[in-house]
Amino acid sequence: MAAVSHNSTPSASMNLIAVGATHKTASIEQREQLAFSEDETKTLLSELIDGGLLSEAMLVSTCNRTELYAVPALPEVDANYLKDFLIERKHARKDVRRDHFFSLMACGAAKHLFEVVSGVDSMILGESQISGQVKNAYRIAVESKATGALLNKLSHAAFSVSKRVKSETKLSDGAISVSYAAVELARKIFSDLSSKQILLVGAGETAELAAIHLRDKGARRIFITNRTAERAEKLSRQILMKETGGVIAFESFKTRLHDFDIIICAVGDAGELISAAELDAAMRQRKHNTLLLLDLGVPRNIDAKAATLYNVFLKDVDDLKLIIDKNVELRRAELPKVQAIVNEELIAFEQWHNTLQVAPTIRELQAKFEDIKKLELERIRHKVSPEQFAMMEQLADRILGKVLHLPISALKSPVDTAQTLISKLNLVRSIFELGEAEK
Amino acid sequence: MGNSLSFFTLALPISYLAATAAYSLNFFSTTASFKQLTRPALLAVTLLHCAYLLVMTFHQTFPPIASLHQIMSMIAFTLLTTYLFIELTTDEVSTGAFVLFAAFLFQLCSSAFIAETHTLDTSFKNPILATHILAALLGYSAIAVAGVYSLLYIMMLRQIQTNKFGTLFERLPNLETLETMSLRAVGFGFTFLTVAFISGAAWIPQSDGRFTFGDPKLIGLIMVWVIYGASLLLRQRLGLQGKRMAVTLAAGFLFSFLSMTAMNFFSSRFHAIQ
Repeated sequence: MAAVSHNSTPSASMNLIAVGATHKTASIEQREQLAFSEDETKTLLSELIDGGLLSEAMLVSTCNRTELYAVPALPEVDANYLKDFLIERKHARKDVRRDHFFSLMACGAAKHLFEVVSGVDSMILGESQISGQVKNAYRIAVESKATGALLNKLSHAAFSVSKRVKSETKLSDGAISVSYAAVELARKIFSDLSSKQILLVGAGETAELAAIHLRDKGARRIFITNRTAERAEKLSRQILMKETGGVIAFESFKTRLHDFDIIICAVGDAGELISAAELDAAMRQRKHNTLLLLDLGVPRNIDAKAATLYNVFLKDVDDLKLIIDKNVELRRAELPKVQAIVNEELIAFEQWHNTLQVAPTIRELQAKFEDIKKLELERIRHKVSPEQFAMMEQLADRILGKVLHLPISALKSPVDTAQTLISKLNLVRSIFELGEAEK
Repeated sequence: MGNSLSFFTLALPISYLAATAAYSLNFFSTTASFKQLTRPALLAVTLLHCAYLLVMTFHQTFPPIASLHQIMSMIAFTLLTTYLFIELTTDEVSTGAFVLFAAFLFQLCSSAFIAETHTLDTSFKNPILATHILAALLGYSAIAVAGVYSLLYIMMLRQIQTNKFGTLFERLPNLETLETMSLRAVGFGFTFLTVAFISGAAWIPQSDGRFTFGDPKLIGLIMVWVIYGASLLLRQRLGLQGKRMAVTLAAGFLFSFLSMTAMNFFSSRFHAIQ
């Protein structure tokens, strides 16, 4: 298998540039200034393409990155030109400089897009939202008629990378947020969340995320209680639990503790809300059936002594952090597999690109031999019967096919560098006297 | 017959090992595709062992339970059958390696010693006695499987309680499923122990006085039957859920194992397997 050059030196053959500011190169304030809405993206792409600066372009703009993938149409359009263009476009010259951007060329740019779409380059390793965001960026570029053969192929290769990473690796497995880890822990204790009664104490951001994760994992009976009833109502509506769940008055939720299999407390500044004695009474009422208490509040909302009650699982933020650390470690262990997929797809992409370069030479080679065949066959047309001529023509086709198979295969075979490809093309053209290659 | 026996002697432990390997790969590896190997491997070894039992039954005109080596192979089969029942009713494949490895060991011992068997006790031709032995083996195997699941439950519980989220936490099913699996195994085992109890009682008049109500294994069987019956029927009333249930079932398994082993020393020849 051929090695692929991933450095940032421009390939003579692949005219692709990627420039961008990401969470690795720029601060959040700088990234905010460079963020593009969908309408702004469409306008930018139209301007770049219609203005004759680029022949193809795609802009990926998310909260963590603004990246432009471009096929320049003019020699003067280089990485710095594009960086300046983006900075000027967003009037961000005051805070953003060229060195807040990365720039990559050819295979380096392609590899970067593959890493972005697979979640390797994300702030949260393996986050899956990015693949949808890149698909959206491609859709906008297609709608703006800003894509051509190169970016179409590159984008589809990137989606293939994303699909393979999802199916062949566990890069996105495991919870890496406290609220998600809480739900994952619940799933390690209970088999079916849809049959469990769940109480959410609090309606803030953490409670909201926990409720959404619970709903996504099949929970149907989620009840919410909050000091401000309106916020509880709003969250209940948001997670669509009006029929099977609902809102419980904050003043009376403790009288119903025994009804619940999972209680999640996420009240920020309330201190202890539920005592061990109250939980002990609730456990007696529920005949000691398993109860999971998830205390996501800081300071903690549940008396730590409750952990000693029989069949009660009490976990706080620090406990859940251990699950997160473990999952991050597991995701990191998947990186070699992801890199292998990226490299395989990169080689396939580069080979596809090489075939674009060699296609004219192959066509000329086939045409030249076809002419020779026709010339030689014409010489004997009148010396043989039509049946014999047809047989000889078939024979000539078979011989030509076999003779041309070797040079065509050699041209299509993987190469280490663009220079090798050019050398190979020149050699074949020289041997078979094909003349100067078309520009 | 010799050729068939040689084939099964070799093929059975290999197929058990292959099934154990498939389930172990699924448990320990992070590659998701190993899961696809598990069910076919399980069904293949089940079919192969069924074929062996049919061939042997046809050949010796009664089920292959007439020697220690045949009994060991039958134990492997009953462990397999119990596991198959649990997997099919819970659709959970992650625990197969633990049960199938035990079944593999029994089958390996059986295959390694089977050539030494020359004479068979023909009293096993009696269908009631054969039913009694088969049901008892299925019952005790299911209790052993319930013991395995209870131990896995306790290990999983320990990992969750101590925040040591290791491989078992990652790969084992959740606590509720493990509890369901051990209860299914107990239910399965209790049913067959009941059959063993009834068929054993029915065989008394035909035992030519070789069997008495003082037989240690009968006493052991009654005790195990009562313990597991009470565990199942009075589970809610006794508050036997979660860890208490797991500890009870693990202790029950230990008691069954020890009572079977100890009582073998005091058993009459009738119940002692040659």
